[in-house]
Amino acid sequence: MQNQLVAWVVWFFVIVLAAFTVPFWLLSGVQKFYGAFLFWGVFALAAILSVGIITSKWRD
Amino acid sequence: MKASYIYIALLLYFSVGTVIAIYAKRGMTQGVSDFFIANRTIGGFVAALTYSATTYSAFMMVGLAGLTYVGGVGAWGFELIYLSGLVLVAFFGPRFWLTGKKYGYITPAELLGDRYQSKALQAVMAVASIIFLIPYSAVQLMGIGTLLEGMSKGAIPFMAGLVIATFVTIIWAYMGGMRAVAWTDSLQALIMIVISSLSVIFVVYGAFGGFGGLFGVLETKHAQWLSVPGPGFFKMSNFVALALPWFFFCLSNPQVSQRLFIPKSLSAMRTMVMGFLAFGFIYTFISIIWGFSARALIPGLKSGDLATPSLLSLDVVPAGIAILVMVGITAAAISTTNSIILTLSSMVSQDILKVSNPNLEDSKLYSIGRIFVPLFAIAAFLFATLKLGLIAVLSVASSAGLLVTVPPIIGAFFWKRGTAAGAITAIVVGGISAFVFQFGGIKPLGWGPGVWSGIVSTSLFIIVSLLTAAPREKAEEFISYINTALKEKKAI
Repeated sequence: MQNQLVAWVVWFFVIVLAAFTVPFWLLSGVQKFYGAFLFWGVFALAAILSVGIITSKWRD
Repeated sequence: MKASYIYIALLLYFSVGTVIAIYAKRGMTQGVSDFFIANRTIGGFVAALTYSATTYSAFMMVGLAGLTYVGGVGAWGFELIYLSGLVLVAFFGPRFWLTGKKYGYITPAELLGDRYQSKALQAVMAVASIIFLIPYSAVQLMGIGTLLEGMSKGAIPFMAGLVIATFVTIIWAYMGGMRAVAWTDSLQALIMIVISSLSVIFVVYGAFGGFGGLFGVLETKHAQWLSVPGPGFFKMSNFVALALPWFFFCLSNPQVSQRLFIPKSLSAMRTMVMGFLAFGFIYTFISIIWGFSARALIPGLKSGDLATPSLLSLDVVPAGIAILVMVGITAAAISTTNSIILTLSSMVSQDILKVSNPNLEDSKLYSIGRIFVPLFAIAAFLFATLKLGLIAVLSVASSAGLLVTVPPIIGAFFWKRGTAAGAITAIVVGGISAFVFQFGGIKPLGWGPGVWSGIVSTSLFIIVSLLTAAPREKAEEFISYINTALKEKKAI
């Protein structure tokens, strides 16, 4: 359980850090739909999917 | 737009909401647990909708659309980082829910007070919430006043809008507490999402022939708006200052974290979280597209706040839809405000009155707490009528100000060494620093108040905790109960 918690925290830290940095550093010159707009959309869907996986294991 | 049409639409909205509130309050008992958290019996679907309606205020279709209009795609990133903050609920949701059930917590401050064994901490958190959330509620009421005045071209004066908004805010919450608020929030969330989706389809297909057309116009005429820092507003420092406190919103704002106590089961909490994430993604997309559409169609506006009203007055939006959008924005503001007012009233009852007089009976706490629903709404109304610049400052400072409660909340579940003295210092000094940074426009290293209040409160919480004695026995019992219960529930 503890290992899983640490693994998920690391995963979320990485994707949230990417959401703060990638559009500013790597995509600042891409003034298209497939630049920062698509990146942040995919980032959010990855976060939603991850939360879906974690919560799917909950039992009443 | 004719004032009479607006009044009819608002009357219809209010009537349907009131019927739902009356239906929801059937069987409600006169006790604090039932009034403030519906006795932890809310099903997943309603929980998801009340969570959504409480979180998303008039800010989305007005403020966020305006930020997109002014600053471009950075608004999308900032709001989605907020949405991704729901990962915190995947960790903290079951912890709040399990301990709430075991120890009977009704407010998040009660959780902190019990865990750190400090009544003073409980009261301090309640007072901090009141200080930062009343101005925030006032801004919501002012938003409705301004919107109605603008859409009726002055026929509905600002004050009339304010009175209507305050009245609706009071009536459902006072009548049926959390049950009525949760069910009317559900209606309002559905209004918000259905109407905003319809309106954006009208605008995008009517004016641009589809989403491809809209992005085509943006890429050729407003290309800067598709990158960050883009036209300038979303510099890295601004972006971090906005997004960082919002990432922790689901823990820092008591009207939201209190909702972690209300689902009837963990499966209901799962539906709540996933339903909210779906709602949030769609609603954010719509608000951003709304702002982009305004940029492409009416690029010369003086301020971003004018983007939504100006777009609504264009021919591409049929008058019927425009009036529905107005109802949708009103619903967004009311559903946020009455949830805040109800939560603050529960904090007065549980965290101030009960703490100062532990012998008060439950029925007394219920009656007095309930009276605070109209009292807080009237306080927000009075603040709104003053139109003070200070209200706006406090409202903006609220996300940074409430962020200071996050280190003690995280510590409660994960750090046995945390102490009440550390938590109180973090909240008081951190809260004052948020206000000073915001009010004084002070931005060391270019970072905004949200970043600094977070740094100040985290450092103080750790340092002061290490210098004072922790409630070891309670910490041990509390955390070992959580670990055992989480294993049983297969939560991490």
